[in-house]
Amino acid sequence: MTANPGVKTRQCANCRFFKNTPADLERSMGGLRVLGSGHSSVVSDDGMCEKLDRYLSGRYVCNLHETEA
Amino acid sequence: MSSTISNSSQWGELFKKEDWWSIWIGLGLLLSAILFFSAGSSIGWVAVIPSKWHTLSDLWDQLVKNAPRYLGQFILWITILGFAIQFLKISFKEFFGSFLFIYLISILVFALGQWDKASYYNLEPPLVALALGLVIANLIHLPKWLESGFRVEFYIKIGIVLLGATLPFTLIIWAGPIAILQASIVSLTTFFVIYFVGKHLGLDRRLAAVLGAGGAVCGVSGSIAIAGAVGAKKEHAPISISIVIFWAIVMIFALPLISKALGLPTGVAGAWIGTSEFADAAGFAAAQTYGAYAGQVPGIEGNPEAAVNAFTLMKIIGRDLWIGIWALVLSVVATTRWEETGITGRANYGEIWRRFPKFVLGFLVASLAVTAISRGYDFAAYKSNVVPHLVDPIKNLRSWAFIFCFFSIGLTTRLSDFAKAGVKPFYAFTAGVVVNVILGYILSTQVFVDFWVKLGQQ
Repeated sequence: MTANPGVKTRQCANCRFFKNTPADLERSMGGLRVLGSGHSSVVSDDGMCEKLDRYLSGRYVCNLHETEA
Repeated sequence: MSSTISNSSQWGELFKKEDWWSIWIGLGLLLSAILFFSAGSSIGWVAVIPSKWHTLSDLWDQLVKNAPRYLGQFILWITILGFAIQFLKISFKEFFGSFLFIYLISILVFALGQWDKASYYNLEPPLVALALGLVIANLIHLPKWLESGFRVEFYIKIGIVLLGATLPFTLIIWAGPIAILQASIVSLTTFFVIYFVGKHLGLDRRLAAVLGAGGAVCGVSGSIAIAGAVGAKKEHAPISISIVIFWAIVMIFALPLISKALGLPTGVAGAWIGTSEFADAAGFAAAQTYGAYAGQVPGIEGNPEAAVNAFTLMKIIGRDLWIGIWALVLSVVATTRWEETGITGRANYGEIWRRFPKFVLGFLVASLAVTAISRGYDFAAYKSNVVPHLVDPIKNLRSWAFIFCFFSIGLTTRLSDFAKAGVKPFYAFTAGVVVNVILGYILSTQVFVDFWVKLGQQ
């Protein structure tokens, strides 16, 4: 990712549409807890974007970004 | 709710991810065992397991006699797990009741596996725990709070760190390169089969990649890691998770039974399971089941630990370690070559570390520590002193962690929760399963057979 601080603040992780607590992930992905976990390192900072309906890295950036209130 | 990415959150991961907690718990138990051992004592009292029994009165007598030790062990587990889950934002009150339920059933499952006719009736603890959990989860409505303790991944990771203490580091160095070579051949082939069959069937490239990683790398973890890296649609990961779980559970029962029918040595079967199972927890269930056949079922050669050791080398060292590289490569491909999604930016090399399954570090440190301690003893002293007072108690605690895990797999596998996968994703994944199982069998039983047989004799 770019090191530009302006871009960093627009990362998905800072967006109000982005949900990525382990509980959010385990709720939204049926079966995740069976052989996986929302608390796992491989999840990194990924989360669910409710605007784009995508599961993506919190380090991504998009034009629909709305900063969390 | 979302979390801001900052340097402090990278450090915070040390207490927020279960991978790190499995390291703290696993290495903490190992350190305690080493301190007791160094003082001429052992943690054997608290690391109690049921011993072999013939009649029900034998079993009852030993359970009553050891009741204070089981109580002590429960207090140990609930203290360390209960401390950790506070940081994972899980209610201790709910976890306590849930873990008590798991622990009591685990005693019964473990004890059943120690019946002297258990192998004859195929009552291996991993299979019994899994089957019992499946029945309970799908036929009985459990209260929501009871699910707090069903943490499959947490238990298996703690078990893997403890497993490191029983696997000599020299063996990892000796067998690691072959495991990586064999696993890489199978992983790459499986991924491309699933990906191209999926694409041919008209699946979205991102879904095909998510399915491919689920089959090739590390099951559910592989699916979610790649889904995040490529920016998959929200339904892609759940579809892959459903199919992975289906095949992983089929393989828990199928691979040991087929290996048993073929009379494969324990090391060879462990290598095959390591290449052809789709999830760590499921693979340990299959490998531990098979290892227990050694010495019990006529014609199965090799030591019982070899199945789990070969599985670990193949799955953890050969496949799991590389998830970050898969994520990095597929992220770059997705953002430069696939259709646009409105997302910009792509992963950098830091992705490899961020997605690295950190519990593997604990596994390696545990292996190094016990190997270093063992070097100070000749073989006779190692067998008479180090094994019973240091290695065996750790092995017992590992066995408990695995049983908690196997029971939890069954308890969390509720068929009604799964996403409807659809026929095309299922066909694509199944094509990969077929190729994976055949290729894994050929490599384990023909190409590298001498190597895996030798591992089983060590």
